[in-house]
Amino acid sequence: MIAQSRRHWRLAAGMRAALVFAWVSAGGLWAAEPAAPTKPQPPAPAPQTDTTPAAPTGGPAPAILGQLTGSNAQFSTDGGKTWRPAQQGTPLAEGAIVRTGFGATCQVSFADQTILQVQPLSCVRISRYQAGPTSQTIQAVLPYGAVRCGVQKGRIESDTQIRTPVSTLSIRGTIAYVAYDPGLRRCLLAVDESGPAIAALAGGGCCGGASFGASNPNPTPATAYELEAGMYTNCVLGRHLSLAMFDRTVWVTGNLAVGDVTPDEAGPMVHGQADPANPTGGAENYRNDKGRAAERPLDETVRFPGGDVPIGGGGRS
Amino acid sequence: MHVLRYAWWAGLLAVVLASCQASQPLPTAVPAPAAQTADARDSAALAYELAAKRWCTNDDACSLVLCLLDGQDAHGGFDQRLAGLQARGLAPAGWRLQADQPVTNGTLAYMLCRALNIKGGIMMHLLPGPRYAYREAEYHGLMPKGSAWEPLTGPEVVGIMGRAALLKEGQTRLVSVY
Repeated sequence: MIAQSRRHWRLAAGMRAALVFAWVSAGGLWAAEPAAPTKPQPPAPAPQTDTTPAAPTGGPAPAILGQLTGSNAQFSTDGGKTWRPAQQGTPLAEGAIVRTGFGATCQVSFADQTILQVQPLSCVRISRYQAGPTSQTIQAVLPYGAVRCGVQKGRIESDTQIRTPVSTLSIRGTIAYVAYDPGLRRCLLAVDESGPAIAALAGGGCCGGASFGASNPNPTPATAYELEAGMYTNCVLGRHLSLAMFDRTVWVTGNLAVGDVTPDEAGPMVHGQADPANPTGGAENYRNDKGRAAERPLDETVRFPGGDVPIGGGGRS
Repeated sequence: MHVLRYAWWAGLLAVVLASCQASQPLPTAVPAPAAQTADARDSAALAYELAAKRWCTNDDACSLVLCLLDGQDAHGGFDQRLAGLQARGLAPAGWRLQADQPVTNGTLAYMLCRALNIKGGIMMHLLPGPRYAYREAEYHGLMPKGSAWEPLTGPEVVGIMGRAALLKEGQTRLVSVY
């Protein structure tokens, strides 16, 4: 009898201990302080080294800010220290920064030859602007957000570059849309019209070498891409909408002819999606119907906001 | 023997209870809010600052959501912002967020799904909360795959809010992020 009561006592004690343990464990988990964020930091963006000299005092006509929509567009001329509301006709020089909030857009016009439409919740910095009677060089940095860039092909040779922390897009005589997500560190590109589009990775990336730019008109083939219909790069850019940010490829309509880019200027190189680090003969995959049929089927296209970019007489306001 | 068995069941019960933990963090002492100013916060300045910040706080996230809806945030402090969001149904009344703590995927997803009128599926109706709101946000391409309790960095929130703005403007659908 004593042994039985002892056994019962042990059982009861064990049950009590188990219940207390369960209560304390659950309560401890519930009451636990949220763990300190241990999320690994994204790597710091590659520094945008801009060694171009400052524009001379008798420099080109300034860029003009215009076509404002919404009430939340601001600009800075001192590197972001002070900001003022954007106003129609505001002149901008090298080093100016333009930022927009929700529902606000604005347009920066460079001598009626190049237009940058800054989309909502975006920021653009004019890192270089040089213009002459027959040529024009513009470099814009896109830390976040999106821009639609239109470059008029014609009497003035215009070389416009849009740099993001992960890529550089060089545009000559076409309309392109560039969006950069700073959280994912990925870039979205669409070329709306025909015209040469060359893409390169900032800092070399998986391809190695320096990025293509006006200062390096003859890059090595490994650093620059000549973009054709259906091609997409390993990381971010493609001629026809490479949704590297969203891991989809979408076809858009337009003239596929590449204009005045010579093969020596932009050696073609395409990486396969399966193994981005190793270059493949992917260019061949997109030049025949069989290769294109093997492409992932598309069931929709993505519309981009903004609309047509007026080039020429409609640019200056 | 029986003790071990009971201990095993108790442990299992503890694990089950832990997996069904509350969707909101436990209420903790809310630190005194920063000096409140009556100046309205605008989304352009906020996005610019966040793009360079390490973490996005609950205060900044609430301010951005209010800017997405109203164009600017005219509230005086975090408590007022949270109350404003709760009054609009964008945040449950029982939420006890801390202004200076990093916002999580689930918290931001819940507010954005309400702000963008994303109805969601059956689970989101049956168990409304950050968990299923985050899954719905993933489906709509607003947020990348991850955990609802993961904190968000400033640049990530800027990217997410950019996509939210596109959805609000009526872009048909964002392809899901991976």
